[in-house]
Amino acid sequence: MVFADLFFLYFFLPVCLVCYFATKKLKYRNFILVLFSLIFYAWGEPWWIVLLLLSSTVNWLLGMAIEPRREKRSGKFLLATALIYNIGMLGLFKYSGFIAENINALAGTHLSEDGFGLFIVEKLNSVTGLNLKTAALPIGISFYTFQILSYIIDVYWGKVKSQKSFGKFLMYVSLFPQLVAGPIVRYADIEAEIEDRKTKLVDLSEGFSRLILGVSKKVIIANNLSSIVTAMFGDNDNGYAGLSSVSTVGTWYGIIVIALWYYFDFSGYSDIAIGIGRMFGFHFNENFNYPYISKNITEFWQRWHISLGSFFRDYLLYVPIFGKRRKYGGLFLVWFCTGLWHGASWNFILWGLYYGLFIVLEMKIGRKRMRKIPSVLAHIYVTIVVAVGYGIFYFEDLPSLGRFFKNLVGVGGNAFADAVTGTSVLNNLFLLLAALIFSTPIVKKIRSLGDKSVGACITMNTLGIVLNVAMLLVSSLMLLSNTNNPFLYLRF
Amino acid sequence: MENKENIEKVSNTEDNKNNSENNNTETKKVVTIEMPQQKGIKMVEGMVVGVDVVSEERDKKTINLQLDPKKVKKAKNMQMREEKKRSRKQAVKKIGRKFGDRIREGVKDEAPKTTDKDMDIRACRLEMNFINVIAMILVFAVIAVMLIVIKREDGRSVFENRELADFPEISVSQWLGGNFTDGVTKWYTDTIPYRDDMLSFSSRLTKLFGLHIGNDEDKVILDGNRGDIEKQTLSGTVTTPKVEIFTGTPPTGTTTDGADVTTPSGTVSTPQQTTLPVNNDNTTLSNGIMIVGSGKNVRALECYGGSFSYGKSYAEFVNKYKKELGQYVNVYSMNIPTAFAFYCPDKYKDDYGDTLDNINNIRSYLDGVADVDVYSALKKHTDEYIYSRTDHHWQPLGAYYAAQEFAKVSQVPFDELSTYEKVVEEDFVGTLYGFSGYNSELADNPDTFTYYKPHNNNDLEVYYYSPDFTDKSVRSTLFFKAYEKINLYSTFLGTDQQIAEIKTDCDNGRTLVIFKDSFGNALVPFLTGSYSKIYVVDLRYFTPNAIEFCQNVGATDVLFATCMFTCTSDKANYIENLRVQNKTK
Repeated sequence: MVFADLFFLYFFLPVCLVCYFATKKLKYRNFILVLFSLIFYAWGEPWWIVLLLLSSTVNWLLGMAIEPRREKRSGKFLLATALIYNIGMLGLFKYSGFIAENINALAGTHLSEDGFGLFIVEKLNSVTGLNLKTAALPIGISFYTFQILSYIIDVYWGKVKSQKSFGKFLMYVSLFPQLVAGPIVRYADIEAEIEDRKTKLVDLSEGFSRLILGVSKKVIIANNLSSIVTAMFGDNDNGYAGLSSVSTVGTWYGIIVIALWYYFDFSGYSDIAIGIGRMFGFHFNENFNYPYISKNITEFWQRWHISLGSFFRDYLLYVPIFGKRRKYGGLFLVWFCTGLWHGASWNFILWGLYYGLFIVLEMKIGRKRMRKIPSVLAHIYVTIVVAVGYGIFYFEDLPSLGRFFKNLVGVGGNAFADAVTGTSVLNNLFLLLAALIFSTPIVKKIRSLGDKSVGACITMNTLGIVLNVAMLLVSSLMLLSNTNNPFLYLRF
Repeated sequence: MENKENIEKVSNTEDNKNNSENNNTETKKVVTIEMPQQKGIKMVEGMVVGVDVVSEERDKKTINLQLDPKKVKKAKNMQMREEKKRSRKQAVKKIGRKFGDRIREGVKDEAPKTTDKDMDIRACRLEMNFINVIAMILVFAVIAVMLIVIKREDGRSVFENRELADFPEISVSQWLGGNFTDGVTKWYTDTIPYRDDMLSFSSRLTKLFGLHIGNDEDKVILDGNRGDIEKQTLSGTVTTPKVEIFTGTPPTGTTTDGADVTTPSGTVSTPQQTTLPVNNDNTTLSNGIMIVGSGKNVRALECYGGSFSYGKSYAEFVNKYKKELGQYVNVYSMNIPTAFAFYCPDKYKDDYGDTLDNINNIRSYLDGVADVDVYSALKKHTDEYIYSRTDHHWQPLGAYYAAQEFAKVSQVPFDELSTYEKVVEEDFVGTLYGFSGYNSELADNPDTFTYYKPHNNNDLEVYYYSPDFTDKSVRSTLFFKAYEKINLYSTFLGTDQQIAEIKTDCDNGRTLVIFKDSFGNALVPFLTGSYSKIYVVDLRYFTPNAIEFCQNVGATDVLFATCMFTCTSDKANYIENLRVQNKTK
């Protein structure tokens, strides 16, 4: 199930909230949450819930087994087991096809490139005669695997206590607000709230507002921006057909729209997750913090998908590879993995390393000297790097990527400018302006005016409530015309 | 929840921020006053846009909420009323005082570090949070209940020309496969009450996203994806091949023997089915939609992007028919431009495929097949009503000019338009309305659909067959009353699937087989005075072998009448498929 969907907004969520608040006992509330989370997960591909339950059980047991043996060799062994199991599962389901593809290309073998997930489903279908949907990637596996990893490692490091109750552990892993598309919530961050939590009035109020904000970001802005992008470039399904005619100006316009689209799509999803989490009394950390106001790439990654960046920083950066050049080894690993995490394709790896390159470059220049760059130049630098980066991200096959770069610098043989681009800008002028404005903290600043006086507080809050209702209604209407608009992060 | 007494001051804000656990226990069951804002971290609760909750803030939450609505609602209401009264009082008191002045009140004394203003704002915020929660619950509840209670739409979506999703069947395997749950979600959105009205309203909203300025020519809305456009231009001029049209009677018994025996038999003896595109009744919008102009002149265009290589295959496929059918059967190729060819504003022409280039490309490959130059014929009449503005088809008038050109090429008699009975249907909103995402301008400015009944209409013997050329119908008619306005184009021949057989009072003894897509339907009425017998076959549904069919019905003339989207895309493969499929001999 996805969040930006009428069925979710007006059926699943209300029913879930009513059930949840019908009881005051935390035990029942937890049960309700787990139940609804499993229904939520099973909605798209019921079969993969087995994997989720298996991973939960294995890691729940491992967590409890590791805790008392932290200092011993056996603890190390158990930790290794857990790492191998989790990373192995992720590798099997997400990367086996990709690995086979590369082995085939290198060694000339003919391994099946379908991937492990597809293989299993097809086996099952042929054995049982069922007609399971052949989706190769269990939805959300990248997210819940990382959540579990953070738990296991933190238990080993002694940062958190192991969870003795399977129900509570399952609730942590399967919590539906963040289950399928993040943010990656660490066990340490919500440990206390898993044990005991309260929904206060302000949580409910903020939760609703945040939910609506996220839905609006996704439905009103991101979805419509994405149609601009497909209008300019086409998409993976039609082989990026637009590349054949898009002009240089159009290409630059297109990637800037991509950058905005991704921000609103990803942060919209995080907003919804944080909002719903808050209604249930969970406080997830922020996942996006106005990334486009960054003045350098290092800062950008501290503001973009924070939960992923910090995961790699905390758990991966210090893995010693490359011997003496450990610092660079760690960096390489982090950015290689960041790329790979986003998808089993070379363009994603390229995308990750591309950012790694700029991070190293900025390290070499030094923070002080970076700061001396005039802010206009700094913003232009970040915009160009990020936008071109999303070009790499968007074009998943290398020939298209090559063609994109040719168009970008104007050697692809296409025109410099075209009428379609101009019309697209005009047709979407207000949408684009809104996207630009809402990706800066302007609104936050305007909102803080409400702190000045009672009158301002009433005005701003009333405005807020009216906007809440209006944005919800507009989003709902727009959800009608588009029956299929999955979040981008669902693929990861 | 007597927050009046319980408003406590939690001292030392800085520390509390960091010492969350401690603070958390302290503030249980208590309305905690939020700390004065510091270091620019402004936290507003209960607001909407760009909520940025700093994580530490959570530990100073304001109120314990008991959420058993039935039980506490009354109590809560009373409490809120008190709350309101108090804050109103404070607000009133504030008026006339100096900015930031202190109010001496009991509560204040307990909290010397907080200013009155902060108190007021805090109370106000609490109140607004409450209102927000109530408003949100109301909105969600009302919509959720309405969506359950109000009767849902079902059946066909007129504008989108498709069946709305049904509630899925439930079974274990359906569920395990994910089809049931998927189906429910789809059904829920697809059958929303008042769907069409809401969609049209939603499209009006999206129109607000941008500027739509300029005169009609410049006022363009682009919608949908840009497809793969092969910008090819032909080098040199295309010489239209001269084709001898055989109008006499073929030597007896040569209908089949007349076939060119030197036909390369390789392809014939090993029928190779070509890859077929997905068959859908609607024209796929591979290149998006362009909406030009406004008001009465608004016109939706399917952006064209054809492929030279498919055009070449098309020509080669048609050539094979000529080769197999032999010298006594005339084969014609009619490539029908879509409205885009004539009505796309000049400045966009470079961004899309060029219709004339693609037609010329096809012509350059035709061999033994007569070309019917509909492009030139229509070009002369572009200021007439030859294309619908809201539908992807042409108007019957356009088909008339095309038929006229065809009659000229095939050297058959042709009835002038004045001999026809004119029928006018108003309020025709065609398929492009749905394709454009319910563009309201189109709905507000419908087309007039004018068609023409031949003078011999009542004498026509019309029969329909199923796509495998069986199940002959009772004597029928050429024209049908379209059951929905959007389907006015299907006035001709009803549906596409069936094979039509028309016996006319024309006595030249010639038999025409038309292989067509939906564009071809409109041609038929204008040819009833030109051929003794006409068979109309849709490329997409026909199942017998096409060559055998032509021979069996004694075709003297075979016309391929397809729009540009068919003859320059993978749909051209249908033609080859019909030729090689289901041979009986």
